[in-house]
Amino acid sequence: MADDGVNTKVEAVSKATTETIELRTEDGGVFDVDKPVAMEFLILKSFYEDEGRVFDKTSIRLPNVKQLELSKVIEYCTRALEFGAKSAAAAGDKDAERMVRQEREGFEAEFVDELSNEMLKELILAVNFLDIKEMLDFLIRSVANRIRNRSVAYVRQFFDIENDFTPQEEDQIHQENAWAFEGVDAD
Amino acid sequence: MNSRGDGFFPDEVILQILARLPVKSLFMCKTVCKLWYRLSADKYFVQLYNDLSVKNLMVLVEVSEASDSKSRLICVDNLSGVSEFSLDFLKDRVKIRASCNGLLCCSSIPDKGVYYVCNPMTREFRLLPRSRERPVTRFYPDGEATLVGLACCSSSQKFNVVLAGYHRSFGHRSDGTFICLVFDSELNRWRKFVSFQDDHFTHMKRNQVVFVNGSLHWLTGSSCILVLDLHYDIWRKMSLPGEVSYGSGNRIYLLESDGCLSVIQISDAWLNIWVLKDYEREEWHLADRVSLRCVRGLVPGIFPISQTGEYVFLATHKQVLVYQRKKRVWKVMYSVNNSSALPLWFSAHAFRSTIFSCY
Repeated sequence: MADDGVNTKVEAVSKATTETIELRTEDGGVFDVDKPVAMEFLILKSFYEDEGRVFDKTSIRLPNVKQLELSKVIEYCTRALEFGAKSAAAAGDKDAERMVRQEREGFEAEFVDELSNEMLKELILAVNFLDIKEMLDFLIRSVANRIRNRSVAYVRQFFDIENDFTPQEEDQIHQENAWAFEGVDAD
Repeated sequence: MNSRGDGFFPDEVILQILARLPVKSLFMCKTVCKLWYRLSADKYFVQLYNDLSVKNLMVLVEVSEASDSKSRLICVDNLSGVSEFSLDFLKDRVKIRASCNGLLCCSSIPDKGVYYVCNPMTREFRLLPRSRERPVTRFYPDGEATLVGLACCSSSQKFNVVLAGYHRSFGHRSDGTFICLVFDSELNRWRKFVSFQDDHFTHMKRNQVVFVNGSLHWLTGSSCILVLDLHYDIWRKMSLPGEVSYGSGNRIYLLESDGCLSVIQISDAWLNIWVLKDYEREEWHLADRVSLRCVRGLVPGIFPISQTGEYVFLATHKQVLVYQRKKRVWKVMYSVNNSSALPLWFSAHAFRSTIFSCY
């Protein structure tokens, strides 16, 4: 592709009720994202809120992000903002707070359950690049949950890592911490 | 290897993932590849792991059945419930004397005067050198120290063990001196210092010792906290919150809460949690008032063991309970079914799972 990074063509945007920003992914996806959601991506926020500089570009190209990942990210961040607003509205009412919390936990459980291991990994890379702290923490916890108590072989395959230990080296570490290898879940 | 070269994830992401694994999984992952082996031993990672572990507090309880003299250890964890716990790797019969930041200080039951510091999660342990030159005989019968404190500093990853008690010559009363022996993990040596007797020393509450801000804190029977500053080997006093007092059915306990000193006061209807928000200015803050109505039957025998800002672990004679502060819910985590020889609160310790090293 001949793109040089950020799209320099400023598109005339008709003022809708919510200001949106156009995000373009490296594989040709185009997303109109509500500005509050886009501002959750710290990598974008830093452009817009840089002091002394008015950043008026309304279309941005994201070189390291593909459309499947970006759509998932937008889904999560939009819901996260909604939950934040609901939580604030429910402040002080214990029952309402509990309901919001349960609703959020339900959404998060469903969101991550639907992700394959590959998708989860790709999302982490995308979210790490976009710098979305809360979502990154959530995804990292999800990966930790998927690999905890699994065998070393499983973990290697999950992360696509080659074993660079010699058999003797691996054996030695294994001996030092033999207790850690007991009772592992079957692959 | 895949097309990304070094690995799928940047190192920082791997560190964050490893930091959220239970210790057993973490140690197993050391054999995944050389990079992971190196990362998991990195000092920055150890601190990251330990900082995250603060959020998950646990309770260790020694359960002794009335039927036999053997006792076993259990670990109660808010997230994963109850599990068996073992210190067999010490290859000695021991009693847990103090707990701090994932390390335990244990004394040998058969061998008086022998102390270990261990991390039960990583199974590392260190046999401490003898604290006195002369063996314990009837002419030097201080016996076991009255007080044992363990101070583990998470930033320097060094620890101190404090043994304190009165010096008595055989057959005579205390000669008015209060002796402290302090073990320094870096120098691998004990040092000794002596203070003059203060009435407060006689009323210190053994099990309630808290390490914050570089000092060990003990609750006394009166309205103050005794503080041992380990940098200067100096004792000083600190006041309890003004509104807290013994008497008329009030019981007072000293605990830690998310790195701050905390006092819990239990009356028949309320459990009040005070936290020392400003250590320098000794400003206490009433963090919570918990109604004890739903556990009314247990109140005479309920003892707080450990807490965070989110929950409080308590023990009674036969049960371990957790109170979740945000949800205002009580839950029984563990019960002994037959009568046990000792009440559970008697040998319950706050604990957390860290990879703090004893070496």
